[in-house]
Amino acid sequence: MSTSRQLVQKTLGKRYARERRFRWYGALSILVGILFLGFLLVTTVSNGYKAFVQTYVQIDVDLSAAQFGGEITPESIAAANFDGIIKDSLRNAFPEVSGRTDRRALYGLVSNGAQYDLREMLLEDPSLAGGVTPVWLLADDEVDVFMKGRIDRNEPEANRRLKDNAIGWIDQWVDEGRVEKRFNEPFFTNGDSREPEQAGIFGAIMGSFFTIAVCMLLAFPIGVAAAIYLQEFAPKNRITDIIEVNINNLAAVPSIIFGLLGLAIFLNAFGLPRSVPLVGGMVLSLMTLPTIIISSRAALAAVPPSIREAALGVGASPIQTVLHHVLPLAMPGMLTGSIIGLAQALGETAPLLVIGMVAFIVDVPTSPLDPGTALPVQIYLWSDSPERAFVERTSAAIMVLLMFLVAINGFIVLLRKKLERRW
Amino acid sequence: MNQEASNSTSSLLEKDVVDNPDFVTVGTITADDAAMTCRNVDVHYGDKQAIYNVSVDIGRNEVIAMIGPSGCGKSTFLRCLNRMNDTIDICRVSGDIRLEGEDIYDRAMDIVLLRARVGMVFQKPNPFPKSVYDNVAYGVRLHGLTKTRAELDEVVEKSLKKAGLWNEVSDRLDKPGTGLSGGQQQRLCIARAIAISPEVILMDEPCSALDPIATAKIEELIDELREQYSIAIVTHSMQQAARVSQRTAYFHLGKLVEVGPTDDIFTKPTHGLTEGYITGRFG
Amino acid sequence: MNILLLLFAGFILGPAFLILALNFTRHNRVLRKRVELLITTFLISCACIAIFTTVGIVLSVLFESIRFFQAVPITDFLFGLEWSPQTAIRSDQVGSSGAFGAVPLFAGTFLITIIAMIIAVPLGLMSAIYLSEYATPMVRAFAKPLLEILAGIPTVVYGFFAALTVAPMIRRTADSLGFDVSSESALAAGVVMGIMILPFVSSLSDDVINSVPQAMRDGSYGLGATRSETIRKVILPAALPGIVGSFLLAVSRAIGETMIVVMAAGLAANLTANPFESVTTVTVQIVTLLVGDQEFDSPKTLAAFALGLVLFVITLILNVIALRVVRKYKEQYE
Ligand SMILES: Nc1ncnc2c1ncn2[C@@H]1O[C@H](COP(=O)(O)OP(=O)(O)OP(=O)(O)O)[C@@H](O)[C@H]1O
Ligand SMILES: [Mg+2]
Repeated sequence: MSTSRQLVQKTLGKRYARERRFRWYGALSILVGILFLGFLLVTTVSNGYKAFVQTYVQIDVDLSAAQFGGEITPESIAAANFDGIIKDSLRNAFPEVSGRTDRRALYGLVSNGAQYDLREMLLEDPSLAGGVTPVWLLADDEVDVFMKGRIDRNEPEANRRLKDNAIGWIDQWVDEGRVEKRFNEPFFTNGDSREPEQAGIFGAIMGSFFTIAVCMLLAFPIGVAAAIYLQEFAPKNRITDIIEVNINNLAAVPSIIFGLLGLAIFLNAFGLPRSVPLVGGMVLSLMTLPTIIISSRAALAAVPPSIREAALGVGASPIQTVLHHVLPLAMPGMLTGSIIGLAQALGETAPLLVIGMVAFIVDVPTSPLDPGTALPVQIYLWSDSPERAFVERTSAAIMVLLMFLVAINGFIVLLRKKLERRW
Repeated sequence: MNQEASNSTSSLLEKDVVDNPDFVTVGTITADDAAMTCRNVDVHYGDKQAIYNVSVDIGRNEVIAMIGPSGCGKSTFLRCLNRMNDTIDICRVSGDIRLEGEDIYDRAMDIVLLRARVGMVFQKPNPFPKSVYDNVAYGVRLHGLTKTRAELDEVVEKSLKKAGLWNEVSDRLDKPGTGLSGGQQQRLCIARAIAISPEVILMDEPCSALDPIATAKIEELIDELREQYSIAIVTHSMQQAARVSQRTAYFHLGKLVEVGPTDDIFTKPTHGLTEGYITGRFG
Repeated sequence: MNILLLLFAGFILGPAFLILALNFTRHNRVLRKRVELLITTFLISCACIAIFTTVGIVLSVLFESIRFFQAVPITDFLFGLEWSPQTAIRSDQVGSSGAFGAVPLFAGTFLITIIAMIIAVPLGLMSAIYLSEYATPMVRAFAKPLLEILAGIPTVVYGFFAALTVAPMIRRTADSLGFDVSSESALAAGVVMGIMILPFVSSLSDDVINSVPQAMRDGSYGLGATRSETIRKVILPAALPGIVGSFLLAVSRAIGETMIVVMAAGLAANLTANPFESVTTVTVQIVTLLVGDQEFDSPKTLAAFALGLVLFVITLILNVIALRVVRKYKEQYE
């Protein structure tokens, strides 16, 4: 007997070492996941946070009456050639610049969207016109990237798009206090653009909004109704079995397949237009339906039978019982499940690519029938663009998307806390 | 005695035990030759106390039966003896429990070694989803008790024989242990426990899931095992306690009311609560 | 189109109308019965939408695929070794359709899936084990939500991260070790996909591990096994069917994942097992073939549906098997 004890004792060291190692592997696995998450978030933020400010340059713009045909009226302002005005002013600021290439480089320092901003500015406040006025204008994305320190001036000139002469002009402006970083309003109010400094996420946000709205308006009532039928009324037979298995499998179908469904049925068979949030929402609603049905059924199943018995006992019909007594109690759980589905739909990209919501669209959609894109698709589009400034914007758009998701999940947590019911 | 009178007697006696912090177990708590000694054991589950100041010995080569109404803490106490309670987060054990004189809750006591020395058989048979052979060999392999396959074969065969299962399973050692009948499964679990030659075997209602024939077989087995091992068994069957045990301990609401030779407990119990329980009048 | 909008409004206003009607008719038995019949019909038709969706998927993918196979023989598609839908391989070919041999895509999908599973399975399983068997409540309360965040991040974010950060990192590391690595290596996409699937594997395994009865653990501890011995020798073998089921679900997830590979894997249909080279996948090609303005009838577009059919069938088979295995496993311990 004591020999067996000695035998056990002899193995202990090795076994405890193995135990420690095993435990360590477990901790390490979790750590890998968490570190990756941290790495992802930190890179995204460090790549993207600078996109929330934008470089502006102050130019002395010649806004004398002569530029407006002698008379300053809203009509003459609207008709004026602001592109020319800005170019003249830039030439005046650096009179020594000559030659086509150099001049073009000089003009390129200011965003080509600045002319429209300037017109807006004047239409709003015509008193600015009348003489040479210093005006803050949106700088080109290369200037912006340079000012944010992402271009190394020591790099050989051939490797930079911003050449030495341009850097010289920017330096001069900086010395004169004519360069400033301001809150990047265009990023939040503009639609997409080929010019990074003018590109914004507002179009994508509105597109996402319409898509998700359509998705939820369809998926929530259908999902809840389907769950009510399956959980409360459906007889237990082969057909309901098939529906059940079918729903579980549908939940695991790759999302891109739903895109193919939308392309073949909604676009080709029904002839709905491409690229519209309406179709996107319909496709995503089919995709989120299983999630909503499954969680709604769980919520219904959690309502104790005593509630049903009590209602039936006082003479309510089965339908009245479910709609008036069971449904309100199950609603918080159903809402939670649906919001989880919503979050899933908000981040979904692949099916939207297939139904054409990946087009380049500048205008901000104003209805589900306007061509539009969605926030994750916008991220995909920008990620493909070669300009450096788009890397920053892609990361910033990701930050905005994640922010929305955080808000939604925070809302779910709140909802659960507030409405959690224990019978 | 009419019903009312018995009720009032019971509540009076209960008061004496439950509300009395200085209650002392009636009878002889010591064994002639103790394998384990427990002194002043308290057990708490979180804020709730489940065992109050229990002191008792487990005698060598004898069977001690633990009886008492449901929820009185028999399992809890039994699980203290091989520190199975350590697997429950909220469970706290205090007091002094010794195995061959060594404090089992001491830091120097290795829990793996302790459980190899104090084996346990559970209420519901819980064979692993492995073959009969691997079930029995499980502990032996873990602890590295054999060097060769032949030795291992021998240990498995010996344990199955001791557990009275060999004749029934010798031709299907490679079949899953979960495929056996309930009684066979329980004997398999006993074989699994004795394969690592423990010093003490704890059994928590080992027959509660079994039919009378399977129960009889296991009772026989326990009687045989007594020659080599010290055994503590929890049971709800008074007859079983009377048949297999030499000493009996009666628990009530976390307190050890009375302990003594089984014959004495069942023929002339000292404490009124014990008497009430074994005669089935209350409890 | 207008009919569709009407239908649309019907689904939203219908339930509200029916509930109101139920209220108004509560004193009239006959009317109420009718309203209730309407409501039941509505409920049933909603439940059937799930079926219609599946039927719709099968029909649309199948029909377009059949049309594709009329132009390109199915054997060429399934067994052909060359994939170049954009360029004509013979001058007498119509339009610009080229070779549609999908084997390189299957191989690429397989390669990336394997890399992802090599990352996700051990890490996911070990995380689940650690969380359910070792972690203190404090650690669990902290680590579990973090892993769930990992699961909630949109795949387009992973894709961007893979392309912008992970791929260059891998290439730099490999360069310094003297390897030659493509900037769109299968490795980068696979690794990031593995991390994306990690929480999925972990939460499924967690479920499965927790459904192993406590009695089984007690039996092992009672014999003097350490925790890790109990896990490795008793819990994992007991949970094996369930764990295999979750792995199959994870594989199906990896095969169907689109954005990570679209952004981080390449377009070049290389037939290779080298994780440092660039490969393309079924989902990447579906997206590539369908994005942009193409007429719907060209073999290129139809090829996307044929790929979709393959994807659907494979993931469906995996899911059906996995769900059945997991259910059987859970019933065993009910
Ligand atoms: N894991 C636990 N957590 C909290 N309380 C527990 C736990 N296990 C047991 N208890 C409590 O401890 C007391 C004793 O329980 P125990 O299981 O030891 O009783 P028992 O005598 O074995 O009963 P039975 O004959 O029904 O098996 C009971 O009040 C029970 O509620
Ligand atoms: Mg018990």
